[in-house]
Amino acid sequence: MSVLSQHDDVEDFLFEAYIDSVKHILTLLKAVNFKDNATCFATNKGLKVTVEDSKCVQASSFIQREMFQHYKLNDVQVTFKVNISILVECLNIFGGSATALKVCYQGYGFPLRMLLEEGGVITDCSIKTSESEEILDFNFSAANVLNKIILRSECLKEVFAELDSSSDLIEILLSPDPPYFRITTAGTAGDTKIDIPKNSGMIETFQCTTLATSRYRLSHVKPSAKSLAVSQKVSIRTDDRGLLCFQYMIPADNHTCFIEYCCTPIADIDDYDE
Amino acid sequence: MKCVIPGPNVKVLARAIHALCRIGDELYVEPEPAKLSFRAVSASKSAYASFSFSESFFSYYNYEQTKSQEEDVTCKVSMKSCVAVFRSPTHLDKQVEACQIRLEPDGVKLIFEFHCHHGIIKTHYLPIIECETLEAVYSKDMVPNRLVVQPKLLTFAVMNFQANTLELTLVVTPQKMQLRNYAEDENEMKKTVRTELCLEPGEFDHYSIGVDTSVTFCLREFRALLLFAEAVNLPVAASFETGGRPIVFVVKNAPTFESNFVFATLMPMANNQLNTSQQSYETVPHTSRAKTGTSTKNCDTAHTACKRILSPIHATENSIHTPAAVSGPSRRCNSSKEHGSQSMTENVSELLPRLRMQEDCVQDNGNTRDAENTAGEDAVPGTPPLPAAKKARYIFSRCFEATFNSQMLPGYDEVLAEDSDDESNKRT
Repeated sequence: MSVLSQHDDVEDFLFEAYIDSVKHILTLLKAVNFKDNATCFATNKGLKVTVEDSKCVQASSFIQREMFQHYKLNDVQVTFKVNISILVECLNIFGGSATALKVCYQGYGFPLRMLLEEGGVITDCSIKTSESEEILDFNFSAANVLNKIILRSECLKEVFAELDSSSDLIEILLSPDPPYFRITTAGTAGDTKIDIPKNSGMIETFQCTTLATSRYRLSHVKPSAKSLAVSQKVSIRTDDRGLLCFQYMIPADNHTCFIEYCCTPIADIDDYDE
Repeated sequence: MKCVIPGPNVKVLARAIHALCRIGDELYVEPEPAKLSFRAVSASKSAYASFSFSESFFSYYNYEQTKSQEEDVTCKVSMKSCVAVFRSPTHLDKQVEACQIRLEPDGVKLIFEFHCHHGIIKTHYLPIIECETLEAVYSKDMVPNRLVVQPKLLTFAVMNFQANTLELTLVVTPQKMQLRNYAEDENEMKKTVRTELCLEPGEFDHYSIGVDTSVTFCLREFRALLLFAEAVNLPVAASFETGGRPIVFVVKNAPTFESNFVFATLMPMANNQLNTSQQSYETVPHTSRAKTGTSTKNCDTAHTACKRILSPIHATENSIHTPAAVSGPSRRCNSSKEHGSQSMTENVSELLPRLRMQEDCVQDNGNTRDAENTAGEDAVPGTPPLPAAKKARYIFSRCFEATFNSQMLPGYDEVLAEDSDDESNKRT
């Protein structure tokens, strides 16, 4: 047991948590670290870290309360915004995975205090928090989901690794009939399309009801590769507006953590005609 | 054309594409009834590589040519896009079960379809730049010097040279083969590290030297050849004559595929700079070189580039001109080409306007010396600069050509498309 685990309840903290290994937190935070600013929400269920880009992309890491050895919240929800790159850097300060962490947040206007300990050496970090802004609400609800597939990540990793980076857009087609799942890019070196059939060994669940094609900016979809890289399975869902939502299942010892990644489609001129 | 390549062979094709990528910027894909060829030529036309895969390389090969089309279905695609398709040859066979290549007669795209594990299909559509063919003319049978060697030996040998080494000189005698880096002139020689190594005939699978000679060619393309040969683990056969004539390397796995690499070699210089190992004697021949030496320095930078380009041209030039051949036939090709002939075949020699022009000037001047002499003279340092008039003819060569006459074109009287004008309709 680390020295950090002996907590004193004297001080008045809004949020306080202790975990004996930062390994999985680090993985989850790194996976969404494609922009500097992250909004953190501490609730009864756990910690949610959200990163947004261009009002089009939103990625959230969920760190369940159960992963922490100690988790104390003095409010219904505590929200703060920090620089996630610095947060990751601090957590990685000992470089190893055996780092224990105690994190406390006193409240609005206070910095995020972190005590990191490894082998009796303690690092005291204090990261400035900033005014938390409202995050995007894509209003993605299960009721509006048109198509959903769950597949093993390794398959999509390969596909993502080979995406033609000279292409501006990526088109995703999901359909109950052939070609089922198609990813298309059009770059300077030519067009590429990748078809993954319904009966592929990589696909676990295939629930597509309607043929739907949506185009996304490749630069908006690419950052999801970070989450994909650490995941085991991925669910891909699209709703009636073409909103794309990836959900990554990331194994963490006895728990399973999730990262959600949503991306808005390119407004299609054809859609307005309808 | 449609063909299917089985998984293990896809890797070979990928290696071939990667080798070709080091030769040129464009890839020529040329299906023939019993084989499919991939070719590339370097920007300076000093190196050419061709890979021919016979039917046995494929699990399915169909060269369907409709009767209506007279020309072969061929195409040229950007090398960059093709390399992107075969990104990692080492991992390719782990994923790919089969690769299908399709080329439609009037298509605008060359299609590569990879059938991967788990039923995943990746399709790449490469835009076709042009429908033209590339064909180098060279001979590899009538040469006095032949070597067959395992690629590993050559790779080990070449590894010793610095990464920035441009040219490699191969000196052969029946007793030994020497490899050394080539230095342009004395100045360069003083600056660069000279590496030289010697290989015994016993290390070769086959070693027959008819004429003692030394040939100098580009190392970059040679490395591409070695990479391929080592990847497929096949011996390299070299056939060459002497400096200034092309050296041909063949890597083949009969009867499935054969690859030919043709590199231009530098014209042998009149001085003894090649004998880098005999630097101690340098002072002795120095006096005799002094005369040529000064003029070399003057036009060194300009001349160097010229020399480099010239000699490859010269090499290919020689190879197509049989002793009996005069400039007649080649001229005909040249003019028909310029007049937009339907023959799209571009001989490498035709791609080299520079020499052709020069040759023309010489003949216009009533000079009867043959092409070889002209080029040879040009390559020798110390040749006085070309007279201004000659230069003008060289630069503005088109001005000295015969006036364009459309009636000279083959098939000029044949109407391919009627006038869209409806005047005739009005009259009737």
